[in-house]
Amino acid sequence: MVGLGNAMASDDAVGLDIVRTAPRPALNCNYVELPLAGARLFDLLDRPGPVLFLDAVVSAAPEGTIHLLNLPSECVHPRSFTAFSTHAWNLGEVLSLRNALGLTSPRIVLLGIEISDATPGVRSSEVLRKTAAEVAEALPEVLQFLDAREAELSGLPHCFPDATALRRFFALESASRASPPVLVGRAR
Amino acid sequence: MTQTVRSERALRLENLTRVEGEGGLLVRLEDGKVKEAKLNIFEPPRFFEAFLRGRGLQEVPDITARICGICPVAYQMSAVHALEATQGIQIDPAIRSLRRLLYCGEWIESHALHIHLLQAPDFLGYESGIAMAQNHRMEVERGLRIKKIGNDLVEVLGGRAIHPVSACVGGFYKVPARSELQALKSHLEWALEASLEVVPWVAGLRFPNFQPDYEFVSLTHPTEYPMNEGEVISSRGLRLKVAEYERVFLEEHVAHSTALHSVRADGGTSYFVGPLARLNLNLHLLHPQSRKAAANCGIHWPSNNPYTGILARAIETVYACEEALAIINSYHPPERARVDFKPRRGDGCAATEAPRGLLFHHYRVDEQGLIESAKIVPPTSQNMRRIEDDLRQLLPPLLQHSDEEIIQACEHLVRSYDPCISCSTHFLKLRIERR
Repeated sequence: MVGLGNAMASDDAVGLDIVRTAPRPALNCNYVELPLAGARLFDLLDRPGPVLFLDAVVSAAPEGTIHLLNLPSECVHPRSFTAFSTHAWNLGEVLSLRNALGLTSPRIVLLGIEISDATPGVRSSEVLRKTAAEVAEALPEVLQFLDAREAELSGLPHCFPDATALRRFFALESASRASPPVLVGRAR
Repeated sequence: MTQTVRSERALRLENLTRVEGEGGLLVRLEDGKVKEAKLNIFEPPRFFEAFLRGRGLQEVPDITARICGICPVAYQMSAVHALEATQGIQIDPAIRSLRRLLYCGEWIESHALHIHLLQAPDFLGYESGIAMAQNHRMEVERGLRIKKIGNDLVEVLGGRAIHPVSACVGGFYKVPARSELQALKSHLEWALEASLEVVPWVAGLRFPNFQPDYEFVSLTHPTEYPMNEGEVISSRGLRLKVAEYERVFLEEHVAHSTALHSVRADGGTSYFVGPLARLNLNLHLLHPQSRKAAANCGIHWPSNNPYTGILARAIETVYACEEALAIINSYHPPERARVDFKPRRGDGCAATEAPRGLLFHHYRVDEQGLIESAKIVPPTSQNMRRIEDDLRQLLPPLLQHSDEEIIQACEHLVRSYDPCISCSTHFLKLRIERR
């Protein structure tokens, strides 16, 4: 589980905040805080996976919307991966480099939180801090869902207006694992 | 996109790739001569110097580390040394060694990244490190493994690989156990052997013949290759204490850039900082294996060819591995991780050698230990004017070539400086206008 973002740029810290407040004893995974998705990303993908990235996203969705999708994606991009330079690599570049070197990469999933403010030097908003805390609480259900769906790339994407909807979906999903999933929404 | 009106010729390069940040280059030609060459930096200004005002002095290392994701240690080192100067703090020798060890980790990872994925593709004719990796897999894998070892060293000492958190004014919040560093020894020994192989590989690259008359500037020290301490010297005979830096070097605002440009105060001339400057001025201070690698690489030092900066980085990677192993072999945890102090009013400055060159910090602190003023002069800012001067000199013989070839040559030159454009806004959209 990799929390990304800039702790000094308002709501861009949301990915880091979620990983920092995650109920770690309840989760069976490794944790990494990655303030800058640089070349370090290359090493992080040197594992069987899957890897769950937590990051701020900026798309057309309302602030606080939660996206859950496989990466790379055409529609939704984690903010930490949008740079084109190699000091702050985008995921596509990292995966291409691994491919060029004949290395396989694990399944990569993004849990992205929609933000509207990434102003440097400004504290994160009350709304996003609350969302980060709620998402952190929901992480056991997220990981359970991803474990159950590990072999199925078609289980994603999903898009939730808030953490309550996220948890309600996973509760239904868990109850009806043998049946086709109840989809709350699709990412834009 | 190219347009031709009479003798006008417009070249546009959307983005300079393989440098950190965003920048553009405008070249204006009149009657076949280069009228001006401007590096336009459009990275949002960072205002870090303003952020720091009113902050406690112990917050400064963590804040300044975020100026750059590739050289956070450099910012922390210059910050802690400058703030210790404001408080009259003398650090213990063991702490001093640990700081050098931390810097070794950053030099190793930064240089390995630049050599293998940023600049080598230029020499070998590839558009990217990814394209190069397909045909030079062994070299790229070796480089990435060297880089990872540098990252791991920073992580063990700094608490994490990106934006390390252990350095503080007075020392470290936590120092490693001897066993933690001993665990890195075999990896560093491998990195030393691997980096010795990198030197002849890099030395075999074809360097363009371009040798301007530079004034190289770096720190120097009586007994060691400079990292955290020393006097400032230049290849034109300058020698000064760091406290005199602002008297000798001036920062100027330029209209076309959000990065300040540095020049010599006495003549307005540009100067050159970075690994090539360091190596040219401090060759005699290398450890035996790096000194031998420098002597046998086929380049006559000092070198005035900016493209040989890649070789200087390769030699410094060898040095950093040697230095790291020497420090680890003699390491015993210090009795205290840091010096305790009571904040007081003070004024202090320091310069350390970031992977990209000399990095200067100056702080004024009030009686409560809050920052009243801060000045940060990154190495890339100091090189901006020199890069523009180089481009003015490089371009005339290239004008007969195609637009694409000119753009590539300009990009290649800028990349040889390994500019960190995000740092320099206390890279490349190229436009050439010909009249």
